Amino acid sequence: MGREMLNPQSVMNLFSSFRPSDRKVLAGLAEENPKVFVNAMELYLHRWSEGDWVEDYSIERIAKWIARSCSPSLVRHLEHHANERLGANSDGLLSTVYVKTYKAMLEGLTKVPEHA
Amino acid sequence: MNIWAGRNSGELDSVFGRLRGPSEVNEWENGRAPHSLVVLDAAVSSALLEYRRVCQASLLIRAAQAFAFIWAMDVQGHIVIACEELSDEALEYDGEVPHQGYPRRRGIGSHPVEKKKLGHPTLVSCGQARVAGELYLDIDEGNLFWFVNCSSGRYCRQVAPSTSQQSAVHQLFMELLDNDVRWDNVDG
Repeated sequence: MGREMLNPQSVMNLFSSFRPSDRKVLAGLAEENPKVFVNAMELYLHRWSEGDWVEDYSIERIAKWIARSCSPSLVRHLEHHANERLGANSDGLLSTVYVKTYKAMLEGLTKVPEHA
Repeated sequence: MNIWAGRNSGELDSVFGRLRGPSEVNEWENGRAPHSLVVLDAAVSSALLEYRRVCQASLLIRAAQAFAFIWAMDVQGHIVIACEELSDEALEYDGEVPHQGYPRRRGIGSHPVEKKKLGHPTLVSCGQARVAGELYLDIDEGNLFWFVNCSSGRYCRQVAPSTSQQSAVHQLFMELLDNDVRWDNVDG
């Protein structure tokens, strides 16, 4: 993996795009450099949480893929991160978008889909 | 040719999924439709096949990966399709939207939160669809391929298509385009 790819901002782009070729790179990165992978995912979530809208289904889709494809320790780390961020809303003052962002992450890491 | 278009609703329900409304419509999507919205008929199929062919050229191979199409199967079994377009009402000037129809760029160099888009509900007047997803060119071993999925957050998140419904979608797109169409198993 090129050095330029190890910038969390660049890795975050792969979560935004999330095509098969992106996921191939992300899967390798999750094994070789989980710290950058996690930093990039946290950055991706943070940017959504600060916005005025959120594609929560995109977040959930990525989270489901992480739950299937990445190590249990990486999954636990991101689960802890999302729980911690939601805990910061104990007074209920944070925005709906913020809450939806981190809830989608948690749900994706744990949800079993219902089929038609 | 879409052999499923116009078939009875029982068959379509079983093969592709029952009709369902969108789980959510964003306020900027109400009453809007993508500028590029068309039915995926024989002429559009030909255009997509030709597009993939010409985009294998070095000049276009990267640019062709910069945006996606979104599609939905409507009540009658037609596939409606459009570029995933930006919804930039902020640019409206004197009744015109200068950037209307501009594709939403794949998430490189920016975060998707920065630009709102016209999503799947706008393909069907914010009404019902059986199944919906994305169609895009992605690279594998140096060549571009069409990839299709049924990963619509608004139509396929709460009731996910079954494995056989996903296979039917893949088969339909292979019939509409060619056997090189690949399935994007993003939802596992």
